[in-house]
Amino acid sequence: MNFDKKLLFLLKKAKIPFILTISLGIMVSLATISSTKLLAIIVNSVFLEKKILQQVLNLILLFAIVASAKSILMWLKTYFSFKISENIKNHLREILSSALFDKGPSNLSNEKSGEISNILTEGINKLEAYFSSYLPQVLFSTIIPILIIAFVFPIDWISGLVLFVTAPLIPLFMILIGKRAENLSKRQWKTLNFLSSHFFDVMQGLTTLKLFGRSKFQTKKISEISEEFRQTTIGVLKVAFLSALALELLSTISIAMVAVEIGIRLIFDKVEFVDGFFVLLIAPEFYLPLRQLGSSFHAGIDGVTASKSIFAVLDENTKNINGNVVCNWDEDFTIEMRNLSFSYDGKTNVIDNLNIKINSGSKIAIVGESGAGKSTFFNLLLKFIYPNSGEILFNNQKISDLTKQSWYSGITYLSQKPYLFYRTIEENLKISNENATEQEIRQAIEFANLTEFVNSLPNGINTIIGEKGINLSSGQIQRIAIARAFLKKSRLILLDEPTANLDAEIEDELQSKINKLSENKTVITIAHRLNTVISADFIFVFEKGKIVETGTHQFLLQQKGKYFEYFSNYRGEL
Amino acid sequence: MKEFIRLLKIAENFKWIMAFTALIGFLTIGSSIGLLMVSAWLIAKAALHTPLAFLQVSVVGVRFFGISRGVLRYSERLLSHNTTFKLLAKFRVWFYEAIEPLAPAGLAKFRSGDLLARIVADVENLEHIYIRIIYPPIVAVGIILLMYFIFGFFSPIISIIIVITLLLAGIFVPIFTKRIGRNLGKQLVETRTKLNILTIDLTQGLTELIVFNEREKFEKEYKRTSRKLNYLQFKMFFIDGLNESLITLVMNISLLFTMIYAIPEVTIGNLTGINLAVLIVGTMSAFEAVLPIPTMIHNLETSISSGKRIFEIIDEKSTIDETESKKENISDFSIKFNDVNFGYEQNKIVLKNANFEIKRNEKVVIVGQSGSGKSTIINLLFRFWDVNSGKILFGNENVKSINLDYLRSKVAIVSQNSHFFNGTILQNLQLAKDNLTEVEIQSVLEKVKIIDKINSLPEKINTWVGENGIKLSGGEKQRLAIARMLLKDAEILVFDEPTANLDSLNEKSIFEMIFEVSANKTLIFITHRLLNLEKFDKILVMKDGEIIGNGIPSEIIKTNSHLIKLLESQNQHIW
Repeated sequence: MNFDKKLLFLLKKAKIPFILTISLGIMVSLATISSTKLLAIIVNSVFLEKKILQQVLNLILLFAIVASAKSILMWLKTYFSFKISENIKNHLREILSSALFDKGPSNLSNEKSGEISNILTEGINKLEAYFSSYLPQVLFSTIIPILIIAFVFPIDWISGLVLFVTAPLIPLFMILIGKRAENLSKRQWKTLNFLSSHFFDVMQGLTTLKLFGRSKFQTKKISEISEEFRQTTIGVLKVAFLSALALELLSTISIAMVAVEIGIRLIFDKVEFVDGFFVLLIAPEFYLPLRQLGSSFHAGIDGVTASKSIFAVLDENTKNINGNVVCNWDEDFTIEMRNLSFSYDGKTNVIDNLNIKINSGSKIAIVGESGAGKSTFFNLLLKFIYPNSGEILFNNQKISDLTKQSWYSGITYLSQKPYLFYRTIEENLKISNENATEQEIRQAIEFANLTEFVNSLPNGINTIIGEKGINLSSGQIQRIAIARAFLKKSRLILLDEPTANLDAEIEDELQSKINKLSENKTVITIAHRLNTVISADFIFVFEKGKIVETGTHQFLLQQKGKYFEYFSNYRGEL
Repeated sequence: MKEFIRLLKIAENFKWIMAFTALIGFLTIGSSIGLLMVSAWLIAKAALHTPLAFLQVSVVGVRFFGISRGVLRYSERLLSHNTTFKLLAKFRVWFYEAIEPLAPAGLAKFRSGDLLARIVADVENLEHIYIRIIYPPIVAVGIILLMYFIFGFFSPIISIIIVITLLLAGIFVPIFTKRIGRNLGKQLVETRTKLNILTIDLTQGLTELIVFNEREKFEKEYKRTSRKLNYLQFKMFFIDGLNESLITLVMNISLLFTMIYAIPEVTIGNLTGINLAVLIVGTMSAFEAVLPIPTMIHNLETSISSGKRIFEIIDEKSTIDETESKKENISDFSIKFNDVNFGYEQNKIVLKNANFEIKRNEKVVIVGQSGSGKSTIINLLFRFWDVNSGKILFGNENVKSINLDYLRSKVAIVSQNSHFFNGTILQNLQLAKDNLTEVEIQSVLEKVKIIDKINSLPEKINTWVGENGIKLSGGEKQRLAIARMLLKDAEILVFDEPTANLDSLNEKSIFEMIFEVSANKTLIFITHRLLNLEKFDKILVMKDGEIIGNGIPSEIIKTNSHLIKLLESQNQHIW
């Protein structure tokens, strides 16, 4: 059985619809039993008691009422069964998105964020069938047969016994055969995986095939591989379908047995026709829930599989530290790091016992090889991650004591890949300052040299950009980021090589804009340009998580230490 | 609907096997109906104390139907799945043959891996065209006819009742529920799209959302959209669920009318009580045949939209016309572009007045910023597109007159991201040439300096690469790609930003190797990083689709203003 404690726990969010679904299911069953009983009585009255229509009219009327009630109850049961999954899906998406915010971007590799994207859109839907059909079906397949036997036994214990004995055989066979099929498919899984992804692989590499003149021959290969796939899969299915075969055979053979034993006993008056006929009519209903369980079985597996990735995201320990002191950016400040250490894996320190003091207004450049700890340094400042030991202090106050809202209000962060939301240009700018006036927005656009471009668009600043909006070049995307920075006017600016990978001319222009933005602000840059390090008040040279040298550009060159080494290696000459 | 007919035509060869499977399906349901009707007859007869001897046939009949139902169902499932997989192969081959001549131009839309995955899914979902769309209605019609005939033996009126109610359940019920949910489809698509976009915002724009204090606002919007989508999905499933309860209602209505008509008939003796029992039971078991119809309508719609998407792609005309391209024996592989103008789309020219010449064995570097037209020259060289105006010549032959496969055997390319197929290293190398000898392979792997790495692997060149195989580093991939390219033994070697994603150590080593291996071949090297320019015989400087510089490096570096600017800017970078 595919039960997962954590999944079942989710049912708590849909207690009422679940209970209602089960209750209604039972009522539907009772209605079926009643209408079947009525049919048996009616047929018996006409067949053996020779009654005429008028005499059974009231029974027929009752039958009509019960049948209509049954349909209404079925309808209501459907309603609530889907409400179960609706409630759970609502809950899951909300806690997943919350978890993402708590985790922060530094814990999300590209791969992981694609995976999570998938979970939020497709993965959650896979739980639909689990909660709305599979789980209720599991309960029904126990309750309903018991209910039916309870009505059959008192009137015909022999038939009752036949039903009682055959019923458990069904899940037994299903499980036995199911296990064999599962093992078989596990062995074949790698082959099946390769065979089924071959077509996609070919499509992805079609251009490569063309370049090597192989594309026309691929047709034959696709045929062959698909044929192999067919053979392998049918091999597995043959076994898997056996469980369905067992299911069907058991139920139909049992019905046959019931019919024959009732027939024989009827000949010798050992049982009443009305009871025998009732049992015959109700027997298929007895086996139906068990057969339905068989077909919703895979929904059970799918659900548990999907849930594994969901809970993997939710179970990770994420801290969410939000202080309650409001950060005051209005006056001069110092940011200090005391004995700061951080490690991603718990073994190697990516930041190792850092001690720095930064006064407001200074221009700091950070240099070092990749992996030396520069981005981690930013992640700590941005509260995306928390130090293992030591602290970051703002005017002697631990930044973990500060509210996130007030802390972020004073920081602008420009990265290499700014993200544009699928909203209008204006909305994309307004995220830095909700209360920006239209004039301020125009100023920001002007500052970033986007005015001409925006004016050329038919919808101007109401043009939608982002994922499915109009295509912007990387230069234009950075301009929007700069416009955002202009609007935010924060006192601390963190720059993570924002103009790297831009074309030369644009890089110069945007760099000068960034310099303008940086006047009178505190700026920390992960540096890659000559001018940045030359004009920095301090350069921090990172190596393996430690700062090994500090000073101005000229000073460090004279030291002929690490900085000098990096510099001359790359440049080749001075 | 015409898309569906087009799709059906492709499956034409399967019509007999499909008909046979439908027959088995028909017999399967027929068995359950038989089982219950004969059982009812048996019991009713027994109630009249008929001696057992007279009932033997029906006892055998009951046992027979009891077994045949299960066995038939098993065979039907195997047969229909078998057919499904055969259809899958057919559709894949059909799609591939249609799109192969259109590539890569026709595939340009699929820059995103997502879109490609979707069209592949569309093609592969067509396999269900049989099991879910064609098969259910055929079986249903068969059963309706069967009931008409069987019940016809008892009473023409009752056979009409059963046919009408079965048709009601099979046709009107699904149409009715469809009408109720008709606006739902559009709303679902819209809301789902919105949620997908917000989800991307969440996963990729997380930094911005946090640092701009947008969290609260976003979570509210996300919650709202999620709830709306879930509600719409609930509505859709719920309306679907109506089908089952309505079909049950129609079945009960059928029973009702049958009873009301049949009981007086029994009273006056036109029908027996046994008939009554059998008719009731037959009615109840016949409706199994129409239960799958509502889902079938859904699947029909899905197939049609898949079909639309597929046909949109393969119905496009090829970007080149191969009818005159026959020549296969060119002796001179010098290249000439004469007044070439080209644009991928109408009204957007990306290559203007390109005029240049590349002599045999020349080493040429093409520089310029992204979007300046460098890769376009290559696309035209490989004739993936034809020029708008002007001519491209190989020696004295217009590229249009050269056989395409022959052309592409003489020009080879390694670009930024080389594609390797799921398979062994050897299989990927064999793409270049059949019947590779051990010596050829070892020699080329040595040339690209990857032989040690490969020999260190447990399976050596039979190591699996690709999805479930080992992950090669960027540098290793490019070296293998170059090895593959060398095995092709082309005349002209093209490298399009081959080291763009590599670290500087690899970059240096691969660059040197490229020069070694292209010693007596024409080399075209495209880059936006300006290193080692003096090694080349010629530089082409490109800006905004035009060639603004064409000459020997030592001169051009001093005289071309754009190039000078680019060099200066590059010098700004310290690392």
